[in-house]
Amino acid sequence: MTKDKQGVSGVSPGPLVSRVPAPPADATIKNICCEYCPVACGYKAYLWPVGTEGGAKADENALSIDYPAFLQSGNWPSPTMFNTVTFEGKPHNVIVIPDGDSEVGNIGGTHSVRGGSIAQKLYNPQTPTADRLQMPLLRVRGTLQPISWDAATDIVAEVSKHVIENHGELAWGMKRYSYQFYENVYAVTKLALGAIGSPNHAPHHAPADGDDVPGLSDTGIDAFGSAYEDDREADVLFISGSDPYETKTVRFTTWMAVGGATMIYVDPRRTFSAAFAESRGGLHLQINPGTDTALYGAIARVILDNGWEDSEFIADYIASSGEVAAEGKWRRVQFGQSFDDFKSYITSEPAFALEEAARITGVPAEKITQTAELMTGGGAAERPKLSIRFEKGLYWSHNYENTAAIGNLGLVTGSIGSVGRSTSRLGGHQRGGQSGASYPLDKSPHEFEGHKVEMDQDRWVVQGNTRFMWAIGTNWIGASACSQQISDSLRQLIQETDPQVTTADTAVAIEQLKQRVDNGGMVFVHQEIYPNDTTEFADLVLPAAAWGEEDFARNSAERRLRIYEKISDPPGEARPDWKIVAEVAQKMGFDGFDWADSNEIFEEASERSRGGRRDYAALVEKARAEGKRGHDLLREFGTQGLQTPLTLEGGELVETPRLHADLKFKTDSGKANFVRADWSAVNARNEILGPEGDELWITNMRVNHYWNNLSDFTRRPYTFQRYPVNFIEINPQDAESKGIESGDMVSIDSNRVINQLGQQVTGGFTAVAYITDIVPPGLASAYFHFPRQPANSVVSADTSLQPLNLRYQFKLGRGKITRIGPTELAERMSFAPRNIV
Amino acid sequence: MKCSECGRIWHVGGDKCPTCTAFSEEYLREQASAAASEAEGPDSSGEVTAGRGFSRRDFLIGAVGGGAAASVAILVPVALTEWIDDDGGDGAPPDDGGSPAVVVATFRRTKIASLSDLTPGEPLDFEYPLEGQSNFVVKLGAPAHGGVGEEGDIVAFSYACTHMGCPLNGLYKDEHRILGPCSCHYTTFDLTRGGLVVLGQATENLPQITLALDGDDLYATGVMGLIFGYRDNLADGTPVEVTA
Repeated sequence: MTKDKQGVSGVSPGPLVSRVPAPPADATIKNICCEYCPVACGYKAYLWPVGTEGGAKADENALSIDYPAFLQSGNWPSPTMFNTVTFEGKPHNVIVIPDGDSEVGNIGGTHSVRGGSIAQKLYNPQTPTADRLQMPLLRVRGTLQPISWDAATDIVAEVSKHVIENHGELAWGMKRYSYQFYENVYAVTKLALGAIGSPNHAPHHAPADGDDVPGLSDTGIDAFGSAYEDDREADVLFISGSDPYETKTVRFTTWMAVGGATMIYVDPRRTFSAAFAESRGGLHLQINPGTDTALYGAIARVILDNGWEDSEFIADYIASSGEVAAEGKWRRVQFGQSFDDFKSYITSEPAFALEEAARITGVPAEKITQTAELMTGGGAAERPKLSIRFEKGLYWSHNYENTAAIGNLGLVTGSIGSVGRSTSRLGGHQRGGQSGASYPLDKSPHEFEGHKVEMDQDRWVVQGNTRFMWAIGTNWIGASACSQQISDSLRQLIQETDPQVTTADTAVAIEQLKQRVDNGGMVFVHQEIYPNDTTEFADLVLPAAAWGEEDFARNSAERRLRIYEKISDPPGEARPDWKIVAEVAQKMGFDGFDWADSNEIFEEASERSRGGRRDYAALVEKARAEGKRGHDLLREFGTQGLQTPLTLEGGELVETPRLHADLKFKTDSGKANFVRADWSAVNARNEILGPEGDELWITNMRVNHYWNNLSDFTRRPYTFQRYPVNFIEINPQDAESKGIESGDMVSIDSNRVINQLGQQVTGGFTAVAYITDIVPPGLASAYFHFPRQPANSVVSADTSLQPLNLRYQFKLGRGKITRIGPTELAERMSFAPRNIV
Repeated sequence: MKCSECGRIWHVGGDKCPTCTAFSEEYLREQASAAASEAEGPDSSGEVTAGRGFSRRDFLIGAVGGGAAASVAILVPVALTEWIDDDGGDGAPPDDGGSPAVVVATFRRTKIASLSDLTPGEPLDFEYPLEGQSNFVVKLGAPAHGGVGEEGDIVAFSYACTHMGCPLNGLYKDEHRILGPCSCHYTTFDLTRGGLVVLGQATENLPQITLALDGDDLYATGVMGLIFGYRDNLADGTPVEVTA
């Protein structure tokens, strides 16, 4: 046979694998869930010693399948699901595969590309994961050098004590994930918010602590009250600011798309999800950025004008103005509305009149009317089951007003508390935010009209007030608006303020760092699994162990609590976050950090979960009564887990499939209320933030192949081949006027970025052009958190524009696009349309 | 019947779920057991014959050089799992050699179509390398990774979606030179880019059938990527008949 090479020349460099061994029948099987999106699909990990494998018959392999696996069987281990790890000190083959027996979430073993490739997340020095952080590193004379754990925690503890004693708690900051596992979040917040008690504390996605959806919360509706079942059982799904096919895939494919609901999408981009909705009798409301409040006000007005509101629900469950005034929460008192107040505002605001709203939002008047009719049944005897969903496209724009406006739609249509009728977030990440202490609001330096609000940590840093900063599990720079201001400030406070560390001699290094702090500089500790853009500024790097490297627990977006078992040893000396924090806390002299393992924290944290949506205290009580560990009892519930809050009845655990089933709301009165969604405040902000001249809106997006800051995905050849650099969607009309073609590198720049101090600065990033009609003319969209190419650098960061709740308006960037030149990506990347249905 | 995908129960109306159109669990079980009994054929030992005179076990040993190397499988390029006849036949050891004691199976060069039968934009179907492994060859009208012919635009791919195996037959869209979206979970593949996923949930590129052109004869010569359902493209099935 003549070998013919012609056929394979020029093939893209994907991971091309010939075979995947079957796990032997006696393989070890572990329960784990996907690490990424909030759907949190159930997975199984099959582990077996390297050197053996199972056979092709069902009784010869642990998957119990006869090869070849049949279609839709949900049990085919693809090459990407296979890896080799060190487990319990020995080399093991591992297959991480969706649980084909799952009856919840990913029923039947379906999966997204993110979860389906999660086996490649596991550390294997033969793969691109080889650069995992493995030892504590200290920057000595500009270079990160390995030191011991003991030295590293000494440095953190000593410098922390010095900063708190000499510069106060507000000078000690922590920036950390909000979504990590219960055990880690509990431990790090117990130290930062409790033991140290600093309000200089913010989650990965915001400059300040606090509620992400305050407007919704002020209505009394819980943001995560719904169940996936509601997506399938709804007659109408109203989805704002989310592209569930790309970002909550299995929720879309297994629940939304199969239920036959009429879908209404609100999104400036014509995504796959939006195109899918239209192709099946639904609507795409292609809204102008920043105008949600006007759209929802207009929809409410059409509903009220026609008498299509749910009068029965409103009469029984909406608070009177007297009840609203008696609420204990000042924001609810100030902005809460009775039905009459709501109706009066909605029908008197000129922006909510149909034609004016159509002009503002860009959504045709007839589509607004049609939407109101679809959502309510238009006066039909039986109201359709309506579920309202939203995510960051909504609340990363005008946070308070938009979340209030969508909550109002939920209330005016009575969409709450029963199968198919619900109003909730879709969620950005999984729900692990069980804090170990309350936020010390009274210590915050920021106020709104005499009421304390959470402190803007980034502003505090840029002002030079923070002397010690500990970032855990985030690329702080890329994740912040006006990213370049954060990096400029870090450079100035850390690298350009003397002294720098000149020796790894721990005592000397500590003295040098204390001196820098006293000289007005900052010490920065970065705790991560991989180095990222932010690590460039770290004095000290602490290697963390994460998903699959320790037993942990976490909730999904429908409050389903599951165990995530250890399936691999952590690389090198990497430690779980709780362990690192516990050692520092003990060295600082704090009690209550002497946990022996993650289960002890899981059990302790259950106490603080009481009364909330993630209440699992009953599980721990039951475990104790049965002489079991909390983690072990949870493990018995496999990948199905338990939907919180949990109660014990007759010794048995009772789950809560959905919140508000009793039509009680999270208010003092137990009744819900409308919330004033002030269009004039929104409009004023849009005038400050909007594009002018040849600027475009630069919004950001998430894409199907990637999760968050790509720490895993840049190290996953299969997925990374899709978008090897950041890309920006540009409408053909805008591209043509600038001579830009797909595959060209472009620069996106703005000299009108407002920084954390309210000053106008410049910002920019590069991306490869992807010409597409997904985006309308006047709007371009880039991946929100790509390493080295931070789309957030053209987003303004002045939180004084939203003084109620200090949030960045990530979706409202602006800038000009300039062609740099052609790239070879034009031939390598695919620029095929991403919204063909 | 119970839906294999969404869990819905139904009693009348065929094998497909009235809600999500996935097959019923009962139907899948029947198909799987039919496929298994067909694969077993007359060989009561249960070992699947992977080529003339070669047992599956022999093949496995050859393919991975012994079980100890299983962990390396992920790095083994397709070209190493080649196909030879029991008499040594026309197979050749891989270019990079290895121990002569290692048995190496090779893909066999098989004629799949005549160039003159290809109409631009219209897929022609064929099975390769095993019976039941359904593929198509298409002339895209634009240069493609791995393309053959004067314009480098003739490519061939598996029809089985690498997400969950649903058939992609009939889903070629000539305007964009893509295959999909798959009717099950909407994955779309770019045929000019080696079967790269444009949008969707598959964890593998669509396996590309490598081609060779000799005059008017178009040959399949191998497969890049693992075909859905298989642990090896050449195992657990019956090879197609070779046409010279």
